[in-house]
Amino acid sequence: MLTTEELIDAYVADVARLLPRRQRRDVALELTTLLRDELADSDDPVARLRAFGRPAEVAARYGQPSIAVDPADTRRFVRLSVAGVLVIWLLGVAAATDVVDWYWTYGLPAFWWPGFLVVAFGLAGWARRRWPDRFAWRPRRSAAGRIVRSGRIAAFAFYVAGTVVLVNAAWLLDQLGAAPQAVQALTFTREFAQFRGPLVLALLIATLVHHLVVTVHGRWRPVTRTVGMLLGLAICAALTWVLFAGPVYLSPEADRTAKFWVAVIVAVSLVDLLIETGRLLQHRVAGPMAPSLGSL
Amino acid sequence: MVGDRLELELRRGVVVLAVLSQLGEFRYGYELRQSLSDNGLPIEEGTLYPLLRRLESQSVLVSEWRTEGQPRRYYRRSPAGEELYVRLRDSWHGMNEAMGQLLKGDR
Repeated sequence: MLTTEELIDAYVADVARLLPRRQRRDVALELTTLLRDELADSDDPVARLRAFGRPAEVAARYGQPSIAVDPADTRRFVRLSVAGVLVIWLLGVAAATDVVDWYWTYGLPAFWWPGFLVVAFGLAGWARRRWPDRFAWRPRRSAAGRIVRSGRIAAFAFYVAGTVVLVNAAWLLDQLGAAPQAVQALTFTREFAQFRGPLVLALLIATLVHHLVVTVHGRWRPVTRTVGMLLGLAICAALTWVLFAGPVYLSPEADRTAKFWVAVIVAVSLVDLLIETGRLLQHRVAGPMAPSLGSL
Repeated sequence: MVGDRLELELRRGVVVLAVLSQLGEFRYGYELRQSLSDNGLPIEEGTLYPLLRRLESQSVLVSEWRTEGQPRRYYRRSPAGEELYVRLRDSWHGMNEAMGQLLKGDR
């Protein structure tokens, strides 16, 4: 059982250890005398010391606590951290050979992402405090629901070309005079070409049509948003089926590579769908008085 | 509880002014806490003592060690602290008047 004096010494030592070196001796001396006064008639000195606060809290109160991530940015930091780690883990599920490989290659190393975010948010916060005028809020025109037509047209052309290449990869390679092994590698299996392939192709075409409709409208509308989300969900479901239902290409190497990228697409699409669903729900809760919230 | 937190924030806003009001002459931490408590404003020791050091590092207070009897550190307002005290006191009176108007008849 420690005496009151020993308790005070232990507590002050724990506080002082966490203070800047130049403050330690002085604060420790003062805190000791103050605690002697406070605990002079106390029946339960341990309870009084606990009420004084955790040594880390008390030490922090003695100085300006340093902040790695600004409190205002904490929510965004947590969301980005969690989303990033989940995406890396999901990619790992598709790429790893077994659980142990997943754990060492993706599970544990995924935490580089929150570390990277701490540095990025820390630097951004430091820059904001250092040059407050440069980072002051500036008004800008609301982009509620609007789209950039030229960008969407370019994206449409890219998606169409991508779809054509995906569907006819073997034929294109053959036309370009590629080696028969390369043509063979990118030839679909009969099973994929009969059932899953046509389904995925139909959904891709539906997505292209939807993309075109939004581009023609010039802005997102509630109905195009809902259709877009449903299409996204359907494509995620179909691609997940593709991932687990059997080989896509005749070559195992090509099949493994293709499935890795399919897993990436599913992971990114799911994150996008989650964000979009959150926006939609927010918009519904906010009601018609806040029409721009849904597209933020 | 939300009520406790909001009340704490309200009290926290006046702690500096309360401390400055009592430090026109040299006082040490425990004595100051007793004085505030006797006047109806108890402040936790874990909040008050570090606050004195922070105010001193901001040149609002000056301090000195007195070694007759038990050695103790005594604090009082610095010239800059005097200015700050007058400013905060006037601000408090203004707010008190405004709050009095706002809360009039609200019993």
